Parts: sequence; C-alpha cells; structure tokens
Amino acid sequence: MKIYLRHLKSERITSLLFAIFLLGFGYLIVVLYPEIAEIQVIKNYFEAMPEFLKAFLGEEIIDFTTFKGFMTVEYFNTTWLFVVGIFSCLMAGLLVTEETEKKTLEILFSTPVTRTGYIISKFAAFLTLLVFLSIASFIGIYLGMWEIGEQIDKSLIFYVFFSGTICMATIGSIGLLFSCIFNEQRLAISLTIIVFFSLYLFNLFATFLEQYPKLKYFTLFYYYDASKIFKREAICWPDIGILVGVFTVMFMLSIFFFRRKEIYL
Amino acid sequence: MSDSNSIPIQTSGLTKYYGSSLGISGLNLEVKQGEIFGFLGPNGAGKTTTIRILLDFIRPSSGNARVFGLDSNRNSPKIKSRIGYLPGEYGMYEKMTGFEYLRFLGSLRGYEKPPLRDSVIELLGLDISKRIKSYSHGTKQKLAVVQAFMHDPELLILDEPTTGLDPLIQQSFYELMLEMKKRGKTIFFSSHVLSEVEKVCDRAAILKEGKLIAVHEMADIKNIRLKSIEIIFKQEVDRAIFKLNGVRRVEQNANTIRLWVDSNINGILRRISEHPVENMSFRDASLEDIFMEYYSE
Repeated sequence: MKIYLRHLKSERITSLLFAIFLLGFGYLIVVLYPEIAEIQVIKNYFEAMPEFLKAFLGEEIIDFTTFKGFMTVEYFNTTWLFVVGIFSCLMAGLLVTEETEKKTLEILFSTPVTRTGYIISKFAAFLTLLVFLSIASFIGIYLGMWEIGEQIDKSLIFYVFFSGTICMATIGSIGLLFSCIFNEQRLAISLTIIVFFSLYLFNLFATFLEQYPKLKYFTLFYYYDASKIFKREAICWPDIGILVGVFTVMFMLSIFFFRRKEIYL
Repeated sequence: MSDSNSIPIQTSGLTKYYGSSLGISGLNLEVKQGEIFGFLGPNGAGKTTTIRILLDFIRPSSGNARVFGLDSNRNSPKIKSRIGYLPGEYGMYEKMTGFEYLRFLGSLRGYEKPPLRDSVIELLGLDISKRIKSYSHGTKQKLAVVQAFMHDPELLILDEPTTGLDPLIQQSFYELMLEMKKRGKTIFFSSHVLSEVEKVCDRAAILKEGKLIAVHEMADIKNIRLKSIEIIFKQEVDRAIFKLNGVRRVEQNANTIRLWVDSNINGILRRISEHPVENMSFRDASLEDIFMEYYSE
C-alpha cells in the first residue's frame, strides 16, 4: 500500500496534465460537433472516402455526420487512443526501470517488501492513474454533451471508456514486462511505444488485406473499437475477455521475470 | 531457538559467476551472534557480491547462503524483517525530505516511528527537514546509516559504511557500532579501511580474487602480527642477503631496507650486523602490512 501511494504521489503531476488535456479536448470536440456536422464540405469529403479508408476509422463504419460517428473518428479511435496510449507506454515502461536507473531498489528491497508485492503495488498505481484519465475524459465528454444538449445513452460512452481502459491496461502490461526485463528506462519505454504503434499499424493493414481476414484478430486494437460498441449498442464481452487474457499473461510474465531478476547496481 | 537459527550468517561453498567472470568462489563463512565481523578486500574481491547474495539481490551459481538459519533466497522477506542494510552504492527518492524518506522506509517495516530513529539522527547530527536532492554526499550517507539502524535490527549488513563521512562523524559511527554490539546485535561490514576494522572488529575475513584466504580473530592478528624493521645502511647492500628464514617481505630504496619478519629475529640481526648500519628502527607491523602480506602471496 505504501509503495502504491508513493507511486501515485510521484506521478501525480504528469497524470494531472494528461487528465486536464483529455478533459478539455473531450469537451471542446463535443461542443464543436454541431458546427462541424453542418459543414457540407466535410460531409461530402467523408462520403467520398474510399471504403477501406473509412474502415481505418472504425471496424463497423458509422456515419461521420452523426454524433457517434464523429466521436469515433475524432476522439475515441484516434486522439484518446493515442494520448492515453502514449501515457500508458511512458508510465508502464518506467514502473521498474525508473527505480533501477535511480538505484533506489537496493535500499527498498532491504525491507521485507516482496518482489511480487512490489510489482502488484506499482501496477495497481498505474491502473489507478489510467482510470483517473478515463474518468477525466468521461467528464469532458459529458460536460460537452450537456452543453450542446446531445441526448445519447451515457452508458454507451461508459462502455467505450471501459473497453478503452482495458485495452490501455493491456498495453501497460506489455510496458511492465519490458520494464521488468530491461534495466534502462529509455529502452523499456521505446520498445513499448514500438509495440503500441506496430499493433495499431498492423490493425490498419489487416483491414486492407481482405484475403487474410483472420489477421486482424492478432492485434489488440481489433478488440477496442468505439464504432463496434456504438453500432451494437452493447459492450463486446468476448473482446474484453481477450484483452483481459493478454493482460493476465503479460502481468504474470512480468512477475515471473522480476522475481528471477538479478538486481545489479 | 535451534543452533543454526542463532547463526546470523552462514555460507557454504558460495560461488557466483557473472557470465564467465568469477565473482566469488567456494566461500565458506560463519558470522557469530553478537560479533562485529569485518570483511576485507580490495575492489573486485567479491565483498559486495557476497552481500548481495545474502540480501537476495543476486542468486548464487552454486552453494548456499543462510541468514538466521534461513535460506537467503526462499526466506528473503522474513530475513529482511530482522536486518538493517547499508549499501555501498545507492539512490534515494530525491524529491522526498529526509523525514519523509525515513517515514516511508519505516512504514515498509511496519513502524510508525522506528525505535532508534531519533537517537541515531541526533548522534549523526542529521537535518531531516530538507529535500534529499539538496543533501551533500556525506549527508546522504548519514541518512543511509539512519535507515539501516533505525529499526534496531538484529543483524546489520554494512557495505563500506564510512565512505563519505567526515572523521568526527566516523568516530560517532564507530561508537554506534560498538553500542549495537553491546546490545547483542551482530554487525557484518565490508571495508578496505584497515584502521577501522582494527578499531571495531572482533574478527575479520580477508577476501582475494573471490576467494576467502583467511579468517582471524582480531586479538590473534594483534598477537601474531609481523614486526617491521627499517635499516639505513651506510652503503647500498644487496637485498638478496635477506632471503632468510622468518623474513616475509623485503623492500629496498637505495641504502634503506625494510623487512617484515615474523620469527628468527636473532638470525636476521646477525645478518644486519655484517654490514655497517647508520640507523635502525623496529615497530609492530600495522594491519595494513599484514593485509599487504596476504595480497603479495
């Protein structure tokens, strides 16, 4: 608990800045929607897009000029995904490596703290910060919707954030694994970012390659898609299940490696 | 409590390789309850490697290490609740104040206020109200000493503890060690400062290239210590004439010859008298001389 609280405290400023940005951007994008939806040029531009390009912006194509379509394209599947994705890569990549580099582990582990307990505490703190960002994002969207009088089911917005948070936690678990294996903060963060963007690009290319329809199942981002939730008006539990499965495997591997890691300073 | 549980540190055939390079080899060591045990050796001799295995930071390639009769790897948290540790190299949470840092580490050991915290702070003259990032190296070392002693551990493992402490504080630190010993605590500390080992230790082990080459009671070392004889001859003599029984080492600088001898004093004096002598002095060899003797073998 002490390690959990210490980590929350040490990362509070960065997390607060990200949260303010997401809240502000969410609010802004929602209040801009009525005007943008009315611009005929944008409507025409979107309608003229080739199908595969539309597919980039959501597995289940929905109308860009509707609020749900607009939010999917401008926010959930793009801005939010990248901002929170980068946050996850940075925060998870430094969970252990920051202490390895700063040489604080030796005194810390001279106390009765177990290595497993340490990893659980640090990752729990990361998850808390992730949830905090999602709540800030939700509030931004909610305030925006209240401002423009948009009346869509709030639970759908909640489902999207819930799926997104699970997806980002999974990205975080990959970062944690790198952080447990390597000693350099920069290396662990870089590798997590590379995996993050590779999975995203792989998702896009998998959409292109119609002759290999099963390829898309091998990328995490297939399992988080706001358009799917908006279209079906329900949360996709099998997708959540797969994300949680990957998360669990990565988390267990992190503990496995960290318990065996030799701490050289 | 069984016998093995009362032995604070026990290693058996402890060996550690880093890839193909040797850290320590076949280390058999036993530290007794209530003693101050010095662990001597130059950089790279394997002192820190041994300490890191005891604390489960690294794992041995073979052999085993037991602390209070418990395996250092399998029972690490249990062991750590009974020890205090001062690393040779460390980092601290720089944004915290000294007070916050000690409170944090104390809380990990289950203490609201560790019993010896304030008295050790007072002894070392440490100001814990400032942020750690503003501390000098010496002040950080004081803080590291406090965190190691503050919970009144049964065993203290100290890796080169006086590095960075000024001489006055070093003296206070030795007093603190002796006070802990009086209270029945065990101290295992590595050092290459022989005078401090001589000052506070009951026994000392000498490590060379990863191997334990000697373990001595300090009293025995003092009893068996070498004599150092410095002779200034009127003219230069061949150092080879001192290849005699009892002469452990010879150093020559022009007309001056320095001998370290452990026996056969009469025979050596006879050989000296064969040449005109300008001056001559005897003294007990220092621990450093004894130490050098081991390393020259």
